[in-house]
Amino acid sequence: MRRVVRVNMSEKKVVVEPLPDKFAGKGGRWLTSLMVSDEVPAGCHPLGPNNKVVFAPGILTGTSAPNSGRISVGGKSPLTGGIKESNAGSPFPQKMARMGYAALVVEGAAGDDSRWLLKLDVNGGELVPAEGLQWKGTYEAAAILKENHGEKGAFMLIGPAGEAKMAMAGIAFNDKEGRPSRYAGRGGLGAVLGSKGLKAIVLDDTGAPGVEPADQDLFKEGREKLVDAIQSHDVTKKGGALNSFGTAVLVNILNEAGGLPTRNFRSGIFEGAQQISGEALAEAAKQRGGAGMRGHSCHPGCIIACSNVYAREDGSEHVSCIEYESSWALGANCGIDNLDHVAELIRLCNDLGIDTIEAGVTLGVAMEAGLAEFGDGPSAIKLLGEIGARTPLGHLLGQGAYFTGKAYGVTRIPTVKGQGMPAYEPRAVKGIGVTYITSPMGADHTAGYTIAPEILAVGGQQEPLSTTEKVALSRAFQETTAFIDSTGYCLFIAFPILDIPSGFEGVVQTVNGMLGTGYTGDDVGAIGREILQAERDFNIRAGITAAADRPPEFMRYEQLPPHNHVYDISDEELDRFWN
Amino acid sequence: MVLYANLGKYHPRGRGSEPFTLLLPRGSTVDDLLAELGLGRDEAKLVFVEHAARPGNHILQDGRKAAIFPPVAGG
Repeated sequence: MRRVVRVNMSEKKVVVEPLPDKFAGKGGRWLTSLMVSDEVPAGCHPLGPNNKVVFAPGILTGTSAPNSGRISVGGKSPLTGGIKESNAGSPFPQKMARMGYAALVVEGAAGDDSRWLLKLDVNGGELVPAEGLQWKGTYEAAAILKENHGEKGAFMLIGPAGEAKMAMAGIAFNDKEGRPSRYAGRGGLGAVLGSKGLKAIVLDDTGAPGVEPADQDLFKEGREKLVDAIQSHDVTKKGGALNSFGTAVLVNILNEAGGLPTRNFRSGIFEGAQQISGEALAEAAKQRGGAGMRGHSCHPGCIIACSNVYAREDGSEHVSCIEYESSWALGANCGIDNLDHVAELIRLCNDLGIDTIEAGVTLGVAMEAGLAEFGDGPSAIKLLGEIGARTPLGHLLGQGAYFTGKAYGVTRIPTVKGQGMPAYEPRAVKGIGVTYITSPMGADHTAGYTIAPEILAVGGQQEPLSTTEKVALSRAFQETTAFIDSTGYCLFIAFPILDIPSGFEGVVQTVNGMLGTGYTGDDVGAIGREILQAERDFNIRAGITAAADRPPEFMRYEQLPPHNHVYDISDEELDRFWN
Repeated sequence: MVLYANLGKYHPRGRGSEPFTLLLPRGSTVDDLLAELGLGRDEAKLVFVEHAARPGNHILQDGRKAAIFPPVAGG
């Protein structure tokens, strides 16, 4: 029997209930988005007692399916004012699923300045005062949790930014070695937990019953097909690009395509790209030795291993992980080409508990406003220090790029629905712009990663500067992604299954094997549509209508070098996405 | 010329992704360039010239920068 944990922060009560029948067979984003739609009044204040935070491991999480250790976190976003699903890979959801928990819902609010720790085991949970954790950075808080609850425990944490209810605050989960480094970063759900007074969750999975597929043979058949696809595809196999160079292998290719947003989206080319690339990371790991490594997995069962550990010059650990998005946001987007400065900015983000993308986009806007010079790493580090010190400027920056730009009268603010754009320039890659503009999440590349065919020649090849059929392309990607986000699979399985049909079959078979269902390939799109529509409907009820499905205006009239294009998919064409 | 990611091992002077200059006969194509470097299409998946991915029959112009990538992806 799959169960739901309800954590009432107003009454400090924890109740375990059976998962309602209407949610049977759902997981991940499917479950968080339907539960949020069902239970959260769309008009509520995101930081008030009527908002909820829903945690849900994917359908396959906790099984032996490869790369299936993802958790979705949902709620109403204080950054966008709309529905949010943000996900992360960690051992945490694998344990949670094996303990029999399909979802954990945090509701109500402590109503005072207290901080609480949820201790969860197979018999239920208990809220205890989060002694010694208040205002602690995530690294120190993780060390305290480890000391009090043992080396093996899995945890979730928010940082000081979440406690201060800043809209760029994310939610950290432990990696395999216990670092607070795996983030459901986007959309400010860390601030929602902060508003409720929940600082941390620790899991004790002693006696966990585990997860049993309904049809073992079908599950195993599907698993083998997916494993084969991952291990044979050039980008996901061992020694392939992701494993050898990490996601930051994209820095150079986006730069060569003229689509790497640079200095707050003023150019698509960064002259310092090579210095912050995956190739530079690999070279640093080789030269510096010590703690530095490539090919790190974020959870057991990940066979791609795209994560890394970056070492200081003396070989000591500086930070894990330097992702493409983080290296771009805090590097190229701020004009910073010093990898040690980028690493320190990422470490600070992790410690404060903030989204590296929103932080980097905000710093870019702050530089535009004259708070620091582009390229000045030490000044960027000081600006993040303002967030840590919770100064008035820190509170302002902590609300994100849109808020910061507005405060300083900046017109070049690269956001959609209040959320900062990720590392692909819409004026140079038109399809990803459709995803940013139409996704119910606000600007989010993972919602429909058209970069695969537009830049990487994965899943076909499409001309990035062309506007033709890009709405349909984004729609197809967004539907499939909503399904993948529900399975617990890492989105990077999309690369092999786009190119290798048996890999896609394997995904559907593992889901059917797990649930005893008879889904076909066509059902993948139908399920994705159901999820997207529920999210869209929530947003409409929250007052976020088609009028918000627009690019930032400056992208309509400022030509972006080197291609000198504006964003030229019309409003009418964009509206076709939902019509 | 720049060779990215694990193609850096084909750098003529063993310098990874450091740029270098290559002289080719006038009218040479992207395919000619790959042949000169001893690279097959399975390894050299994408060739960017002047900020766009180019097909094998694309004719290279004097003084242009070319960047070659193996299959890559990320997010």
